[in-house]
Amino acid sequence: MTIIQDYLSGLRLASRSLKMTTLIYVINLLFALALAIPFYGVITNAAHGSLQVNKLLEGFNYTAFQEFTDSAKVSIGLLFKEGIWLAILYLLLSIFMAGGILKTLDNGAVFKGKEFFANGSKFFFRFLRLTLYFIIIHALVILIIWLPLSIIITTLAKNAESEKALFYAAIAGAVLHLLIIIYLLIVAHYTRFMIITEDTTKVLKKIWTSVKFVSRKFFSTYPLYLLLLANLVLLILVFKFLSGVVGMTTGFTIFIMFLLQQIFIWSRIWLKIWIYGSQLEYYITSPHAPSC
Amino acid sequence: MKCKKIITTAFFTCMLMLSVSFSGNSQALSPRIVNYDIKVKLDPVEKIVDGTMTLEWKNPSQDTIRELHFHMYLNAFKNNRSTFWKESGGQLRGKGVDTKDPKTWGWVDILSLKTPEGNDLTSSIQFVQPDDDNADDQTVASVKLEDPVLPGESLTLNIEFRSKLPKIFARSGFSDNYFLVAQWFPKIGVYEPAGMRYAEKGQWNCHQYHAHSEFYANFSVYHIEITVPENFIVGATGKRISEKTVENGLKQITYLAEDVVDFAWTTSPRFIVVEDKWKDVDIKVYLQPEHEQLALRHTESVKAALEYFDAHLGPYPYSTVSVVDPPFRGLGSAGMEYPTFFTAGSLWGIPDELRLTEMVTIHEFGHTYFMGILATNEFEEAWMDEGMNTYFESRIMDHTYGKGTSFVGFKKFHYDDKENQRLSYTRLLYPKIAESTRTSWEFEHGGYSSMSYNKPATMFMTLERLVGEETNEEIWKTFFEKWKFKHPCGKDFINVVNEVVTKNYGTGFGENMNWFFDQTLSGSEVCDYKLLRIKNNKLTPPKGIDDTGGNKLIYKKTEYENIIYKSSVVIHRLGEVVMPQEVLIHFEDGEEVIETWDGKSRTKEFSYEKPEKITWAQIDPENKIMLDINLQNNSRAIKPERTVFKKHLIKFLFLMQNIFQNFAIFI
Ligand SMILES: [Zn+2]
Repeated sequence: MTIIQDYLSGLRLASRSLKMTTLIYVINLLFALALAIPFYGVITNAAHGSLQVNKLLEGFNYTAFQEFTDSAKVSIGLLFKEGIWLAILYLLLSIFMAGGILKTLDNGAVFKGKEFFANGSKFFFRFLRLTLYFIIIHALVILIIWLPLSIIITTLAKNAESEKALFYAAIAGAVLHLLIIIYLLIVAHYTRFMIITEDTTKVLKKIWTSVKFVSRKFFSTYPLYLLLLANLVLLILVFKFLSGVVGMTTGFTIFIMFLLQQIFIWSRIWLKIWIYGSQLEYYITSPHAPSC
Repeated sequence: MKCKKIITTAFFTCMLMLSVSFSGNSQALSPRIVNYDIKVKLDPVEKIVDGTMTLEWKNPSQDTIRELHFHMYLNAFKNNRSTFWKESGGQLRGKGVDTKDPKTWGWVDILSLKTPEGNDLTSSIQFVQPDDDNADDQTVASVKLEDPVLPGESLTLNIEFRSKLPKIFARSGFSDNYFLVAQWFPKIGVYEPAGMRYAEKGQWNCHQYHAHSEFYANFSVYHIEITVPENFIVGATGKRISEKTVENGLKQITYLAEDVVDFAWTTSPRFIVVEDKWKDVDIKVYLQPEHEQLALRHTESVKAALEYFDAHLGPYPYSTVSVVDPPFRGLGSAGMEYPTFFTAGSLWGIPDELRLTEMVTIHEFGHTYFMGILATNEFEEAWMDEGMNTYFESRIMDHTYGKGTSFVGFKKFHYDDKENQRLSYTRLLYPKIAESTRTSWEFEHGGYSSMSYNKPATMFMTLERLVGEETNEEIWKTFFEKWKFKHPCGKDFINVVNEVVTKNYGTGFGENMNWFFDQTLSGSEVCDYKLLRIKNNKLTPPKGIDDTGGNKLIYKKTEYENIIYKSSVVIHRLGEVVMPQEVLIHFEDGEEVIETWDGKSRTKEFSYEKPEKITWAQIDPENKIMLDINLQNNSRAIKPERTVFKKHLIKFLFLMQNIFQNFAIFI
């Protein structure tokens, strides 16, 4: 199968996953609302009825923005702390939902609520371990890329005639970092597919198997993921364009923007399912899938 | 006292302008107290400048002078005992220093100091410390004269000196083959005759080199011959009058700078020189090759500044402007000002919307007017140099690059220079940290830059808006015309303000404007007015017994046919600074009332009885009092518009949703 076929199979699976997408979207919205509602209280109180804040409606105004954030910063600081806990909770919940999502896709995207949550809890600790391993691996990657690079940048800062070289060194580091992150994400995805399809608890071993699998099929797995990421880039571009057209200066345009934003978030989640669908399809149809 | 001082100063200035015949070619614009004739050779490997100098100094006073004072400013970089080093901790401009490398350090030595008759005065040189008791500081030298200089007479000295340039971490020195040669020769201090500025009797005004200040000198004529390797490109204060190749792969370039208070130069083999012209002024930019694409940003901002100063302060009296763009490892020398010559600062790839290069170019150019032509004393009154210059910088920036966008101009994040100046002061954690009138070394616990740049700039903006643009324009032009080439002090500026304001407004602002400067310049208190509340209470019909008709009757209910509101606006003065205020009160039928108030009482109430309610009110609706540290609390609405909050609610919600979803990318 070509990667285009896998790309389209993922789309088919995603198009059958509207209910699942909506469930995740609702959870995401509830989490964000848990912060946004108190935020609304904070900003309305901090303004003390001042007319100056209205300058932030038509566009940006630095003075109004700075003086407003000064008056709201204590309460926003408290919200920020709350936000960190919510983010951790959301991460755990996402790890939990991953089992449900992948198992649903593995079963041809037939969504059954009960099974979704059952699979979530079944694979939760395995996926949690997997996430922790990847955090450690990522930390190592940062060390491996940025330690030598920071030495290079420091040396350049002391010796190079121009800052141009420094700039290029930093850009090269960032691009390399991004490419490696993408690679790690792909490996993590295929590790999950192995755990799901083989129902194994040997997480570390499967990471290694996945590294071998992804590397051997690098020219399929990597471009497939990039192709799927292109959907996200396209979505962002369309959203940016539409939000530029709509603007946010009246109650009506603000409402339209709200709808657009929610469609964006829903689509983002749906694209994630599409990514999983396509990759899973590739993995399953790949001839040496369950080996090793 | 005031008049006497002005007359005395004017007398000496005129006397000198008429009598001086120092070697400048053109007609003297200034008193030309000193004539420097220096031959200097750079050793680019050892980072050493060897010079021979003939100095002619004219005694500008009625005093007999037996001692001279010299700035020996490179000694600030000699060791960590200097006053400069102690004040800056060797960390000025954000860069640490490798103290173990002997090349790091800089110094200047007078090798010999003789009169033309051959009297050797070298052994009489002593270091003195007029500003602090730091006996280790060697930045001011005193020389005892064998033959005193009588009033109006001149003295000639032949001096040989050697200057080792420091590795650049602040202002001057070298970085590889880039040299910014500033404060590099023994420069004579200013002898202030009685009546000049604050001098009650004749005195040397020759301060030590400080972390924050280094400028106050006589108007002079500089004739400088610079010898460098042939492949080095040279830029300097003043006009280039000749260039010739000499033996051993060297070249000699001669500069003439007249009516200037200082001479600095730069050299590097890497410079590319971009030339432009504004009227008869030659503009040269000494750029790093990697910044070639930024050439226009430099030249256009110089032209904008020349145009603006010419129109709003006074004509540019020199024929050259030289801008130096330091390499990034020499950025410690960026943003430094010398007459007709200054360093800007740029970085490869800096976006057009980030107008740092423009800002620094305009700012440093402006110093030629304040530190250079007006020649204020930066040590004692930095607010006159940095403050006035920052005020003009913000005006030029906003005029050239647009209000609201002049400093940072991204579509969704932008602000202008004036906003930046004001907020840099008003958002300080402790805006009362010090008075702006302190000498530059008296800001022991910080606040130098906010109180010398940002607060005075904001103060001048407030003055401009209070007295109106026309009067403000007259103030600045009068000040410049009256005091150019004369070293004015703070009082001289305030006197001009008082003169112009009372001429135009009589006693409209009081007997004079001293109340304004006493609070905002010599005072450290803040200005903050707050619109506390708006009330709209229905007037209730009278109840109870009415005996106005002779009989005791119960008031009838139908006394009021229409509803009447007793409405009021209450203002609190939170700060100690008092400013005259206007208050705009808006009623629900659209009627608007503007009240004026002297701003003095702690609280103020404006009351009305009308069928319409007050919907909102605003203190200082024209935003004149830029010094008010909180503009948000200046207004209040009964029913605030919620749309703006809804907009930010959904923006925030969307941001949070995306952040959460970004977390999910890792699973
Ligand atoms: Zn400055």
